[in-house]
Amino acid sequence: MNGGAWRFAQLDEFWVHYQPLTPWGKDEAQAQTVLVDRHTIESRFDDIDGVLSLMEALAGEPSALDRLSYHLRRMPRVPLERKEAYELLELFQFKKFMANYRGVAATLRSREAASHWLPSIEGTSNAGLLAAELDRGGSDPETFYIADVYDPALAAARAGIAAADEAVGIERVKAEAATRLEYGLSFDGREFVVAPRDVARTMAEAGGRWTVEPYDDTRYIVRIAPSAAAIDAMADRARFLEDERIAEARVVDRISAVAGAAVPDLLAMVAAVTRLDRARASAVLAREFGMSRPVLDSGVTRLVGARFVPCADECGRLGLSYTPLTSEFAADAIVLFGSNMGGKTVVLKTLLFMQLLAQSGNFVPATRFETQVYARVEYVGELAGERLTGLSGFGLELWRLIAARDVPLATFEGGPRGSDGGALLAFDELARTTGSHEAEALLSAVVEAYASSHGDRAFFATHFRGIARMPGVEYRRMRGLDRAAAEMHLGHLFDGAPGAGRPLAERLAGINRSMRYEVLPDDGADVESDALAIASFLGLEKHIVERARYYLMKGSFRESR
Amino acid sequence: MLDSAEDFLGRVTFVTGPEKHCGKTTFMNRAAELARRGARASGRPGPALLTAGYDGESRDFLSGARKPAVPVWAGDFVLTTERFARPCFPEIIDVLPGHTALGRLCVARARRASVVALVGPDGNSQIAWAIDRIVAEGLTDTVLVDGAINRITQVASINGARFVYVLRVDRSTLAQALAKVRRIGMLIGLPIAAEASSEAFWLDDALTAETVARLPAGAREVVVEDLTKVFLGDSELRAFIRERALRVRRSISFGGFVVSCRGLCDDEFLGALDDERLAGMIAFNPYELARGMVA
Repeated sequence: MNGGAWRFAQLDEFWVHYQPLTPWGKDEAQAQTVLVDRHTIESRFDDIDGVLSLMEALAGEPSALDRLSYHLRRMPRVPLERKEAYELLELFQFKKFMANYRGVAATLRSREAASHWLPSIEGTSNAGLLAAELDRGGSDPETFYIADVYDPALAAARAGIAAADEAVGIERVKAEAATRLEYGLSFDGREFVVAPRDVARTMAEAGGRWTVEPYDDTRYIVRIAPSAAAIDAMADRARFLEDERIAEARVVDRISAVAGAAVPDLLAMVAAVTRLDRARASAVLAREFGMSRPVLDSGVTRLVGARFVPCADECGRLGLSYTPLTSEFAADAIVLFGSNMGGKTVVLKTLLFMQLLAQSGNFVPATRFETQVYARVEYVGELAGERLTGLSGFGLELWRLIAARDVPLATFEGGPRGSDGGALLAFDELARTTGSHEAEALLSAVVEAYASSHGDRAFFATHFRGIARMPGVEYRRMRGLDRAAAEMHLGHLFDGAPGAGRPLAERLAGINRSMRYEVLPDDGADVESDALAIASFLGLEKHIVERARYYLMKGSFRESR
Repeated sequence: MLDSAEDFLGRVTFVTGPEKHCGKTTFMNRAAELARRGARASGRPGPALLTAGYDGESRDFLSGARKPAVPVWAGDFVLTTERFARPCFPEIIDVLPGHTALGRLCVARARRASVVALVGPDGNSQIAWAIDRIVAEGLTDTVLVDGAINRITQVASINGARFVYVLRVDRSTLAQALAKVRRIGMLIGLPIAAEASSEAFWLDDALTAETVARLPAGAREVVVEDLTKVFLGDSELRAFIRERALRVRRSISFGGFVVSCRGLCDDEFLGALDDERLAGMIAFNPYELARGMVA
């Protein structure tokens, strides 16, 4: 898929709302995969419907939904390959994963939905055996340590370590007490103290029980030397530690064998959790934005009340109104005319936004969206802030066009052009940076090529009115400025002077209130452009706008040169 | 000051210092012991011990210099690798995302007393993640972090967190040590900038000699993120503050200085500092039993 389409449709701005909770769900969200298999997409839609039904069933019990999120969020990544010996941390991760897996299942089971989503790990399955084995170690369902119960040698080794520690501790307490009594120095749990030189010197002369070294010319560092009994205990401790290490390694090997056998189960569990997590995230998104399930078997691209959310949000921030898109397109090539700021680019973005969301396995923010699954969804043109070394804006557009036409030069996840589903392409102002004669000629030829492409659907937004009219092409236009409304609301701006110096926000609001963002059929009749009116709205000097109108009225602008 | 359990219980304390081997780990060990006793007495969980880096081995991982070990007791929490946690019979509580050069890091509860090597994550965000995991999930509310001054930015975002500044002083380094204390004294006193101040020049970068040279002449008030973003020495900072107002977006709470004097006595240090406000923030070597203080 073309990442340019994703960027052009501003999906990143919307995608932040799609929030899976598990590591695998997050990986998928980050990958921004666009699916090309209709069966897979429909399955994802079914899953979203399933979670939406579950949410509805749990409406009176919101804590159940919180519990579901809680357990999904706490799932750690687990190793999914078979190993001879897993690390202790990996065994912990298995345990934590399964504890939360069971938590999810328990939440769902209360609604008899668990079996639909998750394979059972109870009983004698390998995963069940692993869970039971790991449950023996840890003070909490989510924590893990190698408990004594795993190996008879562990208890003995640890008892030996504890006894040695106790002996060392007793010796230390005795030594600290003796030091306090004999020299008035209180270690009070310190490993060493910095003591006055004369006191420390006396201790050094007393021999053996303390080590003394100079700190500076008035103070010495004093440490309590271990007694013979403490040294013996430390030696015992080292031996028991070695016994413990050997026994722990035995335990890790044994649990690792159980974990290795459970890997196929774990893979299935992770897949199931990912599916649920993905569907939950999509369902939350669908609820938040009032989204609907797309229809994927339509030869016609039909949008009813389709909201391009990034634009709607921006309008909201600017205090402007937003008009959802309602329209349908049936031809292989669609040319969309419109003046500047008339909304034709937003139509293209809305189309790609809906299509990419649908092919990412999500519902769409529209009352209804009918389409088909395309092998490719592409934007052909320059993106904001983009430059390719050595290419002008026109060069870049052409490079993208060549890539789109000459598929063997480009690789697409969905397979080569001509595979099931064809391509959905959006061309925004193709050739706008070159001379209008050549641009219209080039655009006409490209439209003609796509008009007979059979399977592709290409949208061309342009303000070049001179492009050829051909059979098999749908010609549409944005309705544009409602001049009556504009005169009523902002006549003073048309007049020039009174509007001068007004802030941009007010001018944009004026244009927005008077612009009709609707797609109408275009019959080819000469339609006066809104460009001069918009220039007026934005505050261009009155006499320049009037001269422009003069040249427009005069007829052929080209002939006058 | 900084010599009782109450100074550390229920707080996140970053133990920082100006350089390696200035006594950070040694001080943290004492603070941990005090906190541990206080926790036991009041029925609270033991402290969590973390480092922003690598600590606890008998020799420094990078320089090979001798380093103090980190003793832990049953019930303490540590952040380290599984291998380094093994001696304390760890119960694994959580695993941090990502890897370090020394292995994966985990939060573990010690199940017996031992000496461990602490290992910290590379980035500030992971320290914050671990602290949040420890505090927010109710494992313990007493956290001690051994780390460099440039790793304390996260302190500001943690409720009740603060830092202490540990330094060692001898006659040859007295002047530098005094300058460091005065500099920190100035930094912790920087006022917080008012969001609405349109006069202020908000500096996204660190305040260094280079960025100072590039400041617009008319910028009379300069705002930096927090005190860790100021890289001017004592005298440069003084000169800067004489000419412009320096403010911070976020303050970082300060717990005090811990000064270990060698070759000079504590009173000499205070006399040379000659600053009552700063003197009130200074605690001295907690391992020293001076004449008259011996029990």
